[in-house]
Amino acid sequence: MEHRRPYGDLLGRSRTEEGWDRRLTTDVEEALAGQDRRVRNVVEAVVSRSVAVGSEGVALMGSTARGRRTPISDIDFLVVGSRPGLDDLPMEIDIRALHRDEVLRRVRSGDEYLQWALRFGCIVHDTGVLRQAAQAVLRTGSWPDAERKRGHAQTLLGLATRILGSGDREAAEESVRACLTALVHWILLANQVFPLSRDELSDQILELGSFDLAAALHRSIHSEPDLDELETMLRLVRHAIELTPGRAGRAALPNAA
Amino acid sequence: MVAITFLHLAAEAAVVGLAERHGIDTKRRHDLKADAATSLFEADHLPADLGPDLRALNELRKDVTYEGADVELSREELDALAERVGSAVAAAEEVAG
Repeated sequence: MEHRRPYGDLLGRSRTEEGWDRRLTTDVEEALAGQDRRVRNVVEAVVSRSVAVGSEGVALMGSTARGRRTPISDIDFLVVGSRPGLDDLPMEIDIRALHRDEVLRRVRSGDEYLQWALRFGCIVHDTGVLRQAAQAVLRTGSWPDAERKRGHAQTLLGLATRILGSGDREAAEESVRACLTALVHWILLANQVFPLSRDELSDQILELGSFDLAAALHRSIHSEPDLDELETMLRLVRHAIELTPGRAGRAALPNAA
Repeated sequence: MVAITFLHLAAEAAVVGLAERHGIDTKRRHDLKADAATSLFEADHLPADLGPDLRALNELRKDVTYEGADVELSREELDALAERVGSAVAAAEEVAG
């Protein structure tokens, strides 16, 4: 049976050494529990090779960390320090390797990816830098910039429109999905909800009342929409962006394009 | 962003077209498309090994698409990439007739 990580934000565990140690133990177990053998092997290889090259922290990210892998999931890791060599591993792996100073700087400025690692990622190795980063988020109360996501969604809308125009269905599907994802991130962040993994976003946006966006995102992940349906999805994105001009404290939630 | 995205798309489309012709299943996975590019080059079906280019372009594409990162390649790098991708597209078109 698929293992599903609890919904909760784990930042608070960084307050005490005991709490952080407990989180690390649990996270290592959860990074491996319920995963298929190939995923477990990749997780173990990434951790051991990262430690071998002197990395200070490793977090398993995204849908794999959340126990919500989909047919389009790769395996994402944040590595603090040097990038380990992984070319021989058999799955699609996405590693983001950052220097510790960059991690601490970006965390304080509200970087969404790093905050995700600290709140929801499975921290499978930490010499102290990830705890320090988590404490910095707690201390500063920093939150990702929702408006930046809105601008990003707008940029992706332009790109997806051009790709759709090229008639390459597979590429258009990927670009529309990225566009929908950025839009949903914007709306969630503007409503003080931290976006979880991609497959959980539909439920999160549904909880905020947007059935159409939830359905579109779900279909973009779990089916192969044709070009007409992708065009309809882009109209939904366009409509959502147009509904909320300027800096929206609370984003509008479209239900009909 | 547009240049990186479209170079990546064109390179992948050419590789997938040739891979299908030669019985290589890339399973809609970016890493397997990069592996296929190298295999096709080694079998003389591609004039250049696009594997490393596909991996690099995929990383850049993810940075700009998912992180909103401001990634820029120099004019020279873009021109060189465009030339290699263009030759792969020409090879795929030739096979497709």
